[in-house]
Amino acid sequence: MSTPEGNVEEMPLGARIHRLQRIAADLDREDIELEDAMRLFEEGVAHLRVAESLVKDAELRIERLLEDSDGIRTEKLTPGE
Amino acid sequence: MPRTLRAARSQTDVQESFDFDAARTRRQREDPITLGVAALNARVRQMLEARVPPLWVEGEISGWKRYASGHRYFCLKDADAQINAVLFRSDAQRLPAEPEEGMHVRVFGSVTLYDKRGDYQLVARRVEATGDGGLWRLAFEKLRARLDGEGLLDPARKRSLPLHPRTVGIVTSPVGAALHDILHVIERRAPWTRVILSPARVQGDGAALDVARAIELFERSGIAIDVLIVGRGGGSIEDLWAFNEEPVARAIAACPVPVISAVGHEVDVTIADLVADLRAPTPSAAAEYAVPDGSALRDELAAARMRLARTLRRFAVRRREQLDVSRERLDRRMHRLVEKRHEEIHMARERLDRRVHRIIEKRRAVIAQLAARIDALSPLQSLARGYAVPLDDHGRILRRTAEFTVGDPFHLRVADGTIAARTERTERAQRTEEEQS
Repeated sequence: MSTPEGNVEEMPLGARIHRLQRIAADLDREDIELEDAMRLFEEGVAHLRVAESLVKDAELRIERLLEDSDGIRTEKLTPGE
Repeated sequence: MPRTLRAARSQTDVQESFDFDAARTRRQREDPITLGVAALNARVRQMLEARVPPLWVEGEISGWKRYASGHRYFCLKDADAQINAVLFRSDAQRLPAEPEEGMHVRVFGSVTLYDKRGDYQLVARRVEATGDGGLWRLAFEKLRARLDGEGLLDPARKRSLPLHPRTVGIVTSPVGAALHDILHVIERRAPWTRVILSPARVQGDGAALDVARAIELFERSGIAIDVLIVGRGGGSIEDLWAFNEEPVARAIAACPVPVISAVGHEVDVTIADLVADLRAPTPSAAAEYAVPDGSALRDELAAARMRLARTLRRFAVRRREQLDVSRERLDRRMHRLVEKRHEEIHMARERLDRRVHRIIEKRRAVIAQLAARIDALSPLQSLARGYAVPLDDHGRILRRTAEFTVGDPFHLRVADGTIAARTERTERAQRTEEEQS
């Protein structure tokens, strides 16, 4: 059975959705223990909650890549600039 | 345009005043002028340049030669005639490819005369192939063949795009419509995405190198991107040309993450498109390929929520079923166990019964034996054998002489009855005394 990958709060969206799919698959296993099932379910609900708020409330972050004497860095870019 | 007729007064002033019309007039007067070679060439050159405006000339390329100076020299000819031509370096830079021998071209330029050699020639400003797609096509095919030979166009090299990119890189002009279109689409579909622009000049001199640099800047920056969009909006074939050049193709091929190309409009297919992992017909389409549709994602999440709930429910049901099965199995087992015990008890009882029975039988036999013995000792038996038993009036057995009184009556019990008797005398036997003690 799979184990949680990293912090539930910081996982990127793609990994989160992948994780949700794994959790559902694990819950379908015949040999899963009740405690594991409950833990997986709780983790899945946490992922859902974060992912849903991300999808609902996010704002596009746009940056510009620059190279100068200080090296390579990014700065915020306002569209239409 | 008629010119003022002025006779040449010397070889040095013809520069200013020579006029062929005037010369013709002189010849008519049978008074031809004399000119130096330089003067003649200069006069002819001026005349050519003045009389023949810049124009397009069609013909076939012959003897195309590129000099170290960057100038190109060639001959333009058709079946019946030819003219030498030069394309100076500044104009030659715009050539997408060197034309091939015999290629049918049209050349824009002006005719002149090269004073030093007295050669009449065409100073070309542009050279375009008139055949199938022209020089652009030629350059395109050459680079395509070379990249193909290196395997860079192999479909097996194409990487699949990430389903949920966290960061999208863009290489395009910071002021072009393409950037605006891409940002608009990403904002609409996946506003949680981080977008990083690496600005580049996408047309004009050095554009190809700048685009390549901008692509490579991502890798050098160490900033992780999941997918890269490289492109620009529509334009002429010359405007798009940077995306047909080798530096861009190689930068795309070397990019560590999947690249979506979006150059011009749908009809424009560039080398960049061929090398990229995915070709988008427009910058907007590239953005759509790059990021998932938020509404689809919302559906996906809703589906995940439902699946999770369903799985847990199914889990509970399955557990209960398993429990039921276990209990049933346990019941059956208990039942079987009880049955078995019953049987054991039954058998034990039977065994016990048999044993008790045997014991009773045995006892019965002993009793019978004893009874037989008792029977043998019965006084009746003795009587039967001829013995008689003396009894007093009370029926007590008289065993000793002392119990007899001479003259008294007593009874004798014999086998079949009683006899009335009387004691005559008593006599104790000695031996009997001894036996008694």
